[in-house]
Amino acid sequence: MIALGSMLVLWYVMSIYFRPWVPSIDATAIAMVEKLGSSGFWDSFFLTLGRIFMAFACATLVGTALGLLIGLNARAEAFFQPLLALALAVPDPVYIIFAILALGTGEAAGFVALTVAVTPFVTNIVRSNIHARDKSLDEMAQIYHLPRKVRLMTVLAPQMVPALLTAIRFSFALSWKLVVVVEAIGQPNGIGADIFHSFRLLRMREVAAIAIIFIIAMQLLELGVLGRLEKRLTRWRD
Amino acid sequence: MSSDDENSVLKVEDLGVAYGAYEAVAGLEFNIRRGEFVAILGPSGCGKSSMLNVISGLRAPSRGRVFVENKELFTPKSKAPRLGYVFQSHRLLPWRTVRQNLEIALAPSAVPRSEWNRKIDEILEILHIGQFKDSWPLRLSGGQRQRVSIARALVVDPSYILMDEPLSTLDEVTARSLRQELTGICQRTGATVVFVTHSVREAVYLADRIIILTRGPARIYEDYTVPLKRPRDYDDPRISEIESEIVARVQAPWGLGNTEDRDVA
Repeated sequence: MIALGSMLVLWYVMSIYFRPWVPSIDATAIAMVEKLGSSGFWDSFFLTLGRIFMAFACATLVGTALGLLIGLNARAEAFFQPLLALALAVPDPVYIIFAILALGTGEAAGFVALTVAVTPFVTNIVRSNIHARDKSLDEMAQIYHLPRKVRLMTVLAPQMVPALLTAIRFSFALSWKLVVVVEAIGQPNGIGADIFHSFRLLRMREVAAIAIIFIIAMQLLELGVLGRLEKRLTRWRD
Repeated sequence: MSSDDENSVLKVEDLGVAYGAYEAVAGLEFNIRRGEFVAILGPSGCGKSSMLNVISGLRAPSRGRVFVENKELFTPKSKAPRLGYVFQSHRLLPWRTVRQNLEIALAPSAVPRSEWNRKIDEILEILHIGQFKDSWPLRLSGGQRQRVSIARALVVDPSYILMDEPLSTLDEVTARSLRQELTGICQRTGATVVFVTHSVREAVYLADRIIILTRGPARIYEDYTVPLKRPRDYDDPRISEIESEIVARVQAPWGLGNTEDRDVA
């Protein structure tokens, strides 16, 4: 609450000294109400949400599968580790620019750029946690002859839950931020495109209103859905 | 086949384990019969873990042969032994309830599914933890978790149970109580137990026989039959006498000088 209050005070002060580039709080609030009542905003919102989920789901699945492969197989690790280090070092906008150059400004470019940008982070989180797993449980599984499927689903997977949740959270947070950037740079529609459009027309209160609504929605999704998922999957700790 | 062979559960012949040039175990020979409680006593780092890895089927020996119920292990046709294992730490799956932990161990065993519930309930009752069958392991005390670990080892109808210092991480009061129950549980279930310990007194109290190992590379220094009838009392002066006698005897082979130490390791 104190942080939020401080931010509002800062915003208020900045809106006095940097008008019209920093819109006032009340003007932004009015713009937010207008946006929430407009069907065009919701079209953009759900379009962007769809793109986020596509990229997020794909990056999480591919990243987790690659992380498991690299973490459990020494040969795969020897092959992928240098590539992973390289992929982690590349700045995200580079993927976006290359994807737009290679695939144009359609849906595919955004999807590919996002998936390629987010996947290495997920892979790295999963791989690190596979290495840090409790190997004494592997030994127990071997002694009691647990089948491979049981070892994977009952012994390994639950140990990966905190890492997977971190990876999912990270993937989601990175996905929605990058989707907005991709839309601003190379898409004719979506929240990112709307923000960029308002920016070009110097409607700063609209820029702020759209951004704030979207950020709040993403935070609610993250805390609501992922928070509940985490609570359910780790209930044995309570 | 002699009657001794018929009763043999675990037999080891000229067992050797080496890691490159380093020899951890050298020429161990012993035979453990059905229903016996055998303690393996040796100083720290003498090669007990290497020996356990071999007799649990985790690692092939560098030399020698291992027989479980007269079937040789580590041959192309041999199957891994059906055993129960009680580790130093409980090694339960914390995200599975007590019952589920036992079910996971039962799934690959020969016990039919229709028997699981009855068997689990029975074993948990023997170990006095029936009321915790639907609890998460993290909600249990250290002693209760170790009881669950013992229940998991017993429930799979093992040929033998390996216990690797299972009481060493518990407080003395809990360890004493569990130690007291352990012999009764093994007698009731007829389990064959190989119990690795550092504590001479614990070995004397629990075991029918004590296989005393030398310092590494591990060799058998003495195969000692405990001359006490059951039930035993942990505070029995005769246990103290035997303990002192063994402690005095292992000074040289364990490279020690202080005869006052009870827990020699």
